[in-house]
Amino acid sequence: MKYQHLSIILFAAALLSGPARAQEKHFSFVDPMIGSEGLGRVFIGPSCPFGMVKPSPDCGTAPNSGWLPDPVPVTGFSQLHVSGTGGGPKYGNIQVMPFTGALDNLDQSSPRENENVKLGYYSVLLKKSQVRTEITTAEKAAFYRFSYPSSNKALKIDAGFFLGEQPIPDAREAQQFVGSEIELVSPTEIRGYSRIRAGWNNGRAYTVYFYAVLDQPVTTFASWKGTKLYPGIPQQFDSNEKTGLLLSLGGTEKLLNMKIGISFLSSLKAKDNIQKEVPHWNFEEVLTSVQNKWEKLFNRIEIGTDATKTQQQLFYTGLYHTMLMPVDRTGENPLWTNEQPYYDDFYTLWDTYRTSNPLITLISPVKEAEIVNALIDIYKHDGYLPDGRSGNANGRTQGGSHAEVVIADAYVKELKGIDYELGLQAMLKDALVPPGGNEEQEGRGGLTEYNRLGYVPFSVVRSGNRTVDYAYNDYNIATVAKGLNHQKTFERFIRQSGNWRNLWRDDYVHEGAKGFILPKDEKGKWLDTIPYGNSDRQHPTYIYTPLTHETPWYACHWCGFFYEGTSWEYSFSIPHEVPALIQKSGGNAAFRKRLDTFFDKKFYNVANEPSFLTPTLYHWIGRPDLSSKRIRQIIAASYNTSRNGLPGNDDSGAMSSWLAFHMIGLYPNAGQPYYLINSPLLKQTTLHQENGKDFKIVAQGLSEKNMYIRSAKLNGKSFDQAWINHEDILNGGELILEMDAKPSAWGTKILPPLSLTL
Amino acid sequence: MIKRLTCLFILALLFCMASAQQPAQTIKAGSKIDYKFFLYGQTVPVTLTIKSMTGDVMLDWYIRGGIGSYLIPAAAFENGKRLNFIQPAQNTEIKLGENETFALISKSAFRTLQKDKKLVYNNTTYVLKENEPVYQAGSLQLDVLHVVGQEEAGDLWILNDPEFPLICQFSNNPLGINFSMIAIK
Repeated sequence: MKYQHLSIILFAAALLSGPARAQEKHFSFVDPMIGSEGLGRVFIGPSCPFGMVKPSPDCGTAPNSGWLPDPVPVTGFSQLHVSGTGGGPKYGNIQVMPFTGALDNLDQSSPRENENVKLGYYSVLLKKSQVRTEITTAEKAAFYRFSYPSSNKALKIDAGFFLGEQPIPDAREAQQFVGSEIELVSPTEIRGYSRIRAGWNNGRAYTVYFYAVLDQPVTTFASWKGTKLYPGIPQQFDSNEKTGLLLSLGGTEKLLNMKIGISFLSSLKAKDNIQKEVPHWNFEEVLTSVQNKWEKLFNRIEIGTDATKTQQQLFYTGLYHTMLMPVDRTGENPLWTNEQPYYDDFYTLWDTYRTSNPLITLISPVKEAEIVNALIDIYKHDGYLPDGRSGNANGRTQGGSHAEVVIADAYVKELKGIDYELGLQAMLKDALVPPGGNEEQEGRGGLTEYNRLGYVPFSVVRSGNRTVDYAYNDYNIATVAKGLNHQKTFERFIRQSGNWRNLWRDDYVHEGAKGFILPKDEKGKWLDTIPYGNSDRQHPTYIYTPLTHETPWYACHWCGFFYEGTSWEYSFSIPHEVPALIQKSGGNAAFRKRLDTFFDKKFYNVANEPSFLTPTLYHWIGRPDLSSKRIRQIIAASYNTSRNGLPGNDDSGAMSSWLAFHMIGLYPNAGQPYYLINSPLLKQTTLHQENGKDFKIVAQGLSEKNMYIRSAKLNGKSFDQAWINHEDILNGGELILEMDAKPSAWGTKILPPLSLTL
Repeated sequence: MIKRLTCLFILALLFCMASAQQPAQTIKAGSKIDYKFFLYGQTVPVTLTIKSMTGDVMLDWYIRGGIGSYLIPAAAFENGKRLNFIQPAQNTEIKLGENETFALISKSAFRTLQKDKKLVYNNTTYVLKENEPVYQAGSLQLDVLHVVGQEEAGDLWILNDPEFPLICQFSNNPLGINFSMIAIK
């Protein structure tokens, strides 16, 4: 009932906002503030698509994206950030802050007003100094324009700042300071670096080098090391202390322009990045360039001109969030040198493999192929594919080894320019070689037990989702192996892909649903009561049920049976064997009841990724209408254009890409070559593909009432299935959906493709 | 005159000392107690509201928007022998066993502590640590008894109130569930 009301409100709001102007550029609909507050935690500053440099305000050291809403003061503006992440923060390096007055105070934080955020652009008035700060960016260099109230101009450059600093040394997930250095090279040039370790992925130290150039000369200066100021000293070398510079600028101008190049190799490379990308002082030119880069990608998916402004904002902001990360650091790899693309900040594939990577494949298969090649190249040099990676270090693993899904998805969608033999080798490393105590960083934890028992026993943390995820990852290996004619490998891994059954407890009934993924020990005993703590004198236990969230009360956040989920959620997470899951749940009627219970009793968690596919599972019982109905309810209740418009951590665009797919009426089952078809929210979508062929999806008669598909035609021919192969999209054409107010028989007979079998 | 002033000074000093350490009676039915729970690296704010403190003890909890209750049976409040650390369950009243308490020790265990300077709880002997500094819960100074586990680790700071021996702090809990009182409202 609540969902229905919200649905009506959202639809009415969408109608009232009226059709968007046809001639308006797509990028103008992007609102970087959607999802910036609440759980979304998106990055709000300017960035190129997959851009390495992400300048943004930092409001203290705690927030993951750097930014927090007013009235938290702005500490400064640092050059690297991530988007939508949970856990401990990462980056926040090389912070600058304009101010006025004497060079005698390291704290220049200020309240703010008139914050203005658009794609590629950020501006704010710093109330303390009355300096208006504007930022735009290129790929590897940020551009700042400071408008001071008078010619009394000062600037702080802090090489020691970073996000996530904790008072406890070596606090888990906290970034740790290693070193920094700074030098006023000439009256208009500053260089230095910041070296930080750990953060969310507990990674090794990374070094961010910078080179800043000013269009006004420095007249007086003071450097600092630790908390001590050194007036007139132009440099501070690295002695494992925080360093920085306070600068007074000369001239009668009130305007100061600054470009900051960033590099992971050296400060001279950072200087080169400026010279290559921004050899001029034209702020608007940089802004136009970043806008054009995004527009080029947005043009690949054009939604009908009759789409409302709200729809345009939701859709293009969704695409925008999806392409903020991973970041393209080609030419900036400090660890090895070759011609392969280098991407970092996979944060994490557990989050992004389901929808973000498949959406990038639809927008730009070339870009997705680069990402896959970067993953394989990391395997080649670091020894393992990443599941998460940041700061040039693998980590952390949350469940399976999900690079397998990404490689399999590229394979089944025939992405070009990828060495799939090497890819298979990398996938097999995950599946065959235990990471030797390094399972937090890469590989598969509990692999020895998994390969011996066919499941991960409860004594290994996250054994529930590890088993379920490994089974699917094995299916991904089987998929690629079969395609490459590695028959024996195929046979082994297709067999192993059924390993989820080994933790499926057939006779367990909960809330009317039968059969769940539940904890089992090494001896094969199901565990209903589980001991906790380390006491020799007390032996308390807790009862494990399919709704148990045992973390953090009984176990650490990373130590539960499932990672960030319950058995109700993960027991639906069998994307390669949905028919078997239905059969194990008691058949179609029982499975429908199970799904209804899941949503109606709010066991579904809209704020996290494990249940992304679940609303579409009605397709497999021949009820795509029910999938569409659920999806609409979820979107109406949980997504909007406000700052709280995302229901959970955006996780590098995972939440946003889930929405974008459902708006166009397609949903991928990642790692498999088809999309489920749902009732779109948009009347028309055209994919202008890189291969030059257009594919159009038209929902004829779509309205608030007409939300069900009555019939469909693909390229003029009747199309009576609620799924479509990727190949059909690649070939170009037109999918016409006739919409109706009532559910119909469309899509009820030809069910989604069966998985590979022996 | 000097004698009178001295008396007044001593009285004033005693008054100051008395008001610095909150009398145990600050805990009443309706009191809200803010705790910080430390759970395997996570810090979770928990507020307990004492709904009843005679007969059955009812403690309502509030954690990040969620609510629920623990019910400590009168028998357990009187003679309980162990703490039950069962996880709070949303919108659920968890009734503890006849010898189990949560967030407090039984009155008989407290009397034993007063008499013997030690008590047995959780199958562990806890010995009173004397000459401890004043316990600070936020801005409040509380009269507490600090006991230390002998057979295995565990430090408890128990409110010095025989009628309601609330645990103000539990550190080094071998079950991994530690907490500290922040405020009493």
